Amino acid sequence: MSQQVAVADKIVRHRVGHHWPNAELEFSGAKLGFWIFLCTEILMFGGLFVAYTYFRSLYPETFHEAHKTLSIPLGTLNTGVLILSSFTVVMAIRSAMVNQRKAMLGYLYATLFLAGAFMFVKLAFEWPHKFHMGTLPAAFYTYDGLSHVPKPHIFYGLYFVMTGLHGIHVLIGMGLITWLIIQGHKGVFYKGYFTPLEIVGLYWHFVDLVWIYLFPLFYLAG
Amino acid sequence: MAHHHHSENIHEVDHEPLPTKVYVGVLVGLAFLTFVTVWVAQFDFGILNVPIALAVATMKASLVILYFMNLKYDKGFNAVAFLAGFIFLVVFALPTLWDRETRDALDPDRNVIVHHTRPGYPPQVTGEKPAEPKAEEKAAEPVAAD
Amino acid sequence: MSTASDIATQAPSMPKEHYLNATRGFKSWALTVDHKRIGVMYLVSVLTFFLVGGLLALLVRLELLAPGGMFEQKTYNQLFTMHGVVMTFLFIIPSIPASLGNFFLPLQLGAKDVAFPKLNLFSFYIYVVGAIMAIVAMIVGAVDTGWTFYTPYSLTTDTAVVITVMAAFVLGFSSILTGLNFIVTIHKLRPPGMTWFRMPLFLWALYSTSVIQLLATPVLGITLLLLAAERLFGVGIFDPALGGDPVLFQHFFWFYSHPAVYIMIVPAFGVISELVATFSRREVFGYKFVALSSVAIAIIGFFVWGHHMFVSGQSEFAGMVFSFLTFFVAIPTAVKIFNWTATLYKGDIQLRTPMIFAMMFLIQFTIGGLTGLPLASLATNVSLHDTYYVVAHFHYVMMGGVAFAFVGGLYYWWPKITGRMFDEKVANIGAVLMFIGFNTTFFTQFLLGFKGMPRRYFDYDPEFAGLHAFSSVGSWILGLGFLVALINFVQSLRKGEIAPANPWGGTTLEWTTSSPPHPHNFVDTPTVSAGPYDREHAPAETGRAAA
Repeated sequence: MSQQVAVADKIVRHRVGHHWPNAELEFSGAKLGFWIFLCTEILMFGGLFVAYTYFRSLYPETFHEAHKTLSIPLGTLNTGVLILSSFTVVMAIRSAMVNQRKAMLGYLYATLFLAGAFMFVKLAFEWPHKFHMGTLPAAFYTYDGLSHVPKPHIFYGLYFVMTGLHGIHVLIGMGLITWLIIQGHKGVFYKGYFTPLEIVGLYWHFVDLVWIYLFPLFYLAG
Repeated sequence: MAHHHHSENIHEVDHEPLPTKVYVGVLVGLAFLTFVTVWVAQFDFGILNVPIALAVATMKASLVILYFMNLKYDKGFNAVAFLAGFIFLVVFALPTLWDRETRDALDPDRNVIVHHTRPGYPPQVTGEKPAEPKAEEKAAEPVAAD
Repeated sequence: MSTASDIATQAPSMPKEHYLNATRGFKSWALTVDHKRIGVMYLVSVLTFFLVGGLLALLVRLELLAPGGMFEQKTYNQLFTMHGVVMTFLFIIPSIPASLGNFFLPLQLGAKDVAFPKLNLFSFYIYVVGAIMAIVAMIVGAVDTGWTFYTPYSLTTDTAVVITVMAAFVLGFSSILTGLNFIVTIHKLRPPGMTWFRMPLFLWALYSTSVIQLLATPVLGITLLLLAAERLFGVGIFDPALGGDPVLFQHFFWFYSHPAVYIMIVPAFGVISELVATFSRREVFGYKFVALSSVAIAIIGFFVWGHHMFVSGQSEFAGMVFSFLTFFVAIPTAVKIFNWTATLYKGDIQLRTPMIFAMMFLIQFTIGGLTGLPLASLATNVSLHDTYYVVAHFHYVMMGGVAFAFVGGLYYWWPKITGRMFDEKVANIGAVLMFIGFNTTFFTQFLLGFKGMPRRYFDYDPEFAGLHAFSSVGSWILGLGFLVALINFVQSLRKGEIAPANPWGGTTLEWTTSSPPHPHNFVDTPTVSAGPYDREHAPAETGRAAA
């Protein structure tokens, strides 16, 4: 990136809320609040990982056989896409902190594009394949290639709940990034105020973190 | 964001970002670790498959948390709040998993440990050999509901 | 404009500007970000659902008045489930924190508002959405599973399980956001001099409660989502027919729902600490221990959930460990009871209405707490678990404890919230009726449990008829007591005396501002230089209460 400081033509200067003594406290309060929220997210997703562990240890051969039906290339592609999007979002924040509004917007658009790409791979390739094969939760399970292991539908039940909840988080993130782009065009974010960028950034990294664990547990570890 | 310059302006913050090269470095590290985890997945380490995958994932997660999420340079209590999530997840997970491992485990009359935790599978008996004949033992032991 | 000198003169007249009259009209309430107005909206909502849940309870007791009853079995199951769902998720979880907590946390702390005022309003609307969903579920097919939604029955019943659990999920989200707001407020918005150990004990209790809300509620959230998914798609993990484990559901459920009882009771402890301090005219004995015991309860409460599963097929080993751990909760709880009692000792006790509620709380909660010990113990639990003994124990803690503390706290802070006093004689008559009614209803149920009357049955053998009839009559007296309190509150709003700033001689910061408070709470940011119950630095006691 070029390091010239491009002061935006119309910065909307921030004013702290009437109940905050200063912007530093307001900023650190918002961050603390969001770290606490992420703590609740850990426990919510964590419940799913506990269920995964419970049934993986109960039916290990099922998980071993069923994981082979997932596509490692597509999973790896999506892992790369999310990692790159984590980088672009952190660069968007950095750009705001050095008053480079155009760069900030560019990185935000890139993040939104990568998030869309992730969902595209999911919804256009991975899930339709499973609908076609019938490797689905129990109510819709029709696949007969795993009849030699017990309860294969549980693997797919967990797969769809866990990647589904993660996918919902990606969609919410896309909504939030869109909102950041709109606000960014208005000139709201600059060196003196970038709290929403920072918060959505934390959220987006968390979405990446969940995927960092989902990927090996479902696609790789047999 | 290691340095805070408190200006007289109470309405605006003043933070220094980390240099770009740190973020690029982390990106390269994450890409490398992704390659590693996919590469090792083709080898079968048996019982170690999952621990290896989780170890690499945790390295990746640490990079994201410490640098992208900036926790390394952030207020200490934010880390406490975040880690509390993991700690209490363990508090939830361990007894829950432990319960199943030990379920129906004690049979003091026969001095054996009987595991029949898996729906649809016969119970496994470990410990000292039962004094009674095996046929009676099976009859006395109810099979887990399925 | 109310100024500091207005307050100092303590004239028994309404301040010119306060949070109720600062702006007017429906929108000024619907879109308010003032924590006081949000607190009032929560108060009205939770009291409404307390009424709904209470009427459902009266119907349950009506069925049990005599053998034979009047409802179908399924109708009865729906009634006690709705009673449980409404009372748990719509009343008691949000009761003290969301109403009194929202109103008084910033006031006691000396802050102008909570950290995230808009989020606070958002959280209220999430509560409203959850409440509407719960009501819709009741209309389209009231759930008959019990409020615990145990699988596999909750997977096969034809009632509206999915909408109900999604309502509880949404309500949990509201609870999480309130807790998050409180924690950040306490961390970041303490005014100069307000150190952690100068905070009133109500704030310590709210902080501890928020910690539990944040750590436990997400697990409930995922549990309910999984239950809904199990019903809709057949995930397979809770359904034994698909290879799943119903005991796993109970682990998921109780990992939230046991700590949830501390979400309910710990704020009540906070209220009682305030009442005991104010009406004993003393500093709370062992302040730091009482403060930290709230935190201790919050933490220890996460290690004991398995005691709900002693008879559910959990392993014997897990049962022994959970039984052992459960007893540890008794320690910080007893620390509180003993310290409150020690505060009363040689105190200048003022038997005003809120204090009468505090006394009733001490009696009833002690019974409720001590009767929990036989339930924590494996051997006695096995014979008591599915009997009315558990119903009685639970209600001694939740109704005799939390609800009495809530009403006591409401009387205590009523003059601050509304700017008006209430008729103490009528209030005390209501209090006595509640006390008699409550103990008649629920002490009887201990005896029923000992005699072997099972929980959740819509009918019973004639041998239980006498005690059941006695219990049902008690429920009417209890209902009458609450009706008296309700009428008293309404009368106070209509023609209560104007309240002074500090009618009870309280020492905490909310009594330094006008009644009702200024829209921004304090005209000048307070500076704190002493502990919360230090009577030397306390605001002057004013008005008729100075008698």
